[in-house]
Amino acid sequence: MIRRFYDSLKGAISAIIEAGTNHFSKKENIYDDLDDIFVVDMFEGNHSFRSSLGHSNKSIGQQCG
Amino acid sequence: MNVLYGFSSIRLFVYHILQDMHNHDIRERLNVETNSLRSPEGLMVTSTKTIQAGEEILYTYNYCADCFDMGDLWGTPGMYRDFGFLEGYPQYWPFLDQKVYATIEQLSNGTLQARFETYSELNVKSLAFFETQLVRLEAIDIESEIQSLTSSFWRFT
Repeated sequence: MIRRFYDSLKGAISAIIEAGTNHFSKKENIYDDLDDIFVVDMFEGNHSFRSSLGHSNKSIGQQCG
Repeated sequence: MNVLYGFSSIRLFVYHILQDMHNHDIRERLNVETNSLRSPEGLMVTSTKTIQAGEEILYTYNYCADCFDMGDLWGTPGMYRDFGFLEGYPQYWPFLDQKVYATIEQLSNGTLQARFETYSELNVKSLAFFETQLVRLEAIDIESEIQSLTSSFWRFT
């Protein structure tokens, strides 16, 4: 059971990293801006950034553009 | 171990009997529901779908009528910590300090995929945290760690 939990934890963290990395890689220079927050609406499927710099509710396309 | 601290011992006893009559599963696979232990008419267990003879009764240990928000706080790791078993997929992993709440689904090809609750805040800081934890986990020799554990037999003798 310990091994299964260990594998599940590793799998969960890997999936989170992959989802986050894939998302952030769509935005140029994302690693220069630590205030950007990745928000996913699991019900609507909408992806948007929120930021303390006032970029709220902009779409990924708008952010990248 | 039980988290229903606020209940009287009689109610707790009844709840334990109920727990002994069903098994836990994630919300998507449950086939019964209950009202509150505090209900004036008494505890009632109702099927939510047709249950065949011999079929397992599945209820929830952390999303029950009296569980409040335990399910969202415990998730899969909480169930392992307090009950000692691992839920099947999809699993729910709340990382409270990082404010990241992920549902992990297993696709038909075995790949794991993360979905995030709307209130999750996955940013580059928390992403760095997860990357660090993954490195730590991968550095663990899990087989050696398991071998080094004292068996429950010797622990209680």
